[in-house]
Amino acid sequence: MKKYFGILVVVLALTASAFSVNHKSEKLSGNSYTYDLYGQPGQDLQANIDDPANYTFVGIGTLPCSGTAHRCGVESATDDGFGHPDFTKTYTPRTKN
Amino acid sequence: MKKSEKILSLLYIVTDYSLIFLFTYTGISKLMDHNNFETTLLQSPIIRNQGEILSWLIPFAELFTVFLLLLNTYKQVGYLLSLLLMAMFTGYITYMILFIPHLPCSCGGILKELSWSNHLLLNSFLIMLIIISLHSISKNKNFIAINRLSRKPV
Repeated sequence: MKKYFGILVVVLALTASAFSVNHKSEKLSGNSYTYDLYGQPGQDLQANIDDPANYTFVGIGTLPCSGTAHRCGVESATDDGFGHPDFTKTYTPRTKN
Repeated sequence: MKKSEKILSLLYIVTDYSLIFLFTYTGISKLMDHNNFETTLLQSPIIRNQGEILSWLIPFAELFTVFLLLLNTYKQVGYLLSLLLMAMFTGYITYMILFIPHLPCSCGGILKELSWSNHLLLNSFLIMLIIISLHSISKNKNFIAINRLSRKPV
């Protein structure tokens, strides 16, 4: 009996996750912002990357960024009320070569 | 059975089932909400580049740990892997508290609602339980080994 108690705990955890997790499989939808300093001096400084003032709202959808070298913008972000992304909420960073 | 042995045995059971529940819950939650989990990992400066691979590796490592914990033969390995995972998570949480506390937690399910400090407390408590259980297992093994050595043939 004790042997199967572990399985019971697993089933209980599965049930709990089924009820508590937001299991949407699609990508988060939200605002997209371009990084104004892309291609400019200081573009890779962490302080600049983390500053919402360096981003401009461009709409909802996917940014045309491909590559891995430099930050070109953020997607699926929430607006902070001033036309910039709110970095305390979830967002997807995009990079470009 | 002595009172201290009873307490250790109870602690061992509590640790065992808590870890099985926690790792199943968080592992499955991370897989079910994989896009969000990956997005949050990509925001973290220290693991940004490995975010994609870690978003798959972490939940599968958690589920593998559960598998080991369920098998009596590999329980000790399961505890060691749990300790390793918890130590890594705790190190990450400490870094986030010290340097970027405004970023959201990439934990699975309702654990996301915990603050970084509460998460650190929970992890520390679980690490303590794992260490005590590992210690009690090795002590038990020594006890069995001593008994085996001293057993005289009938």
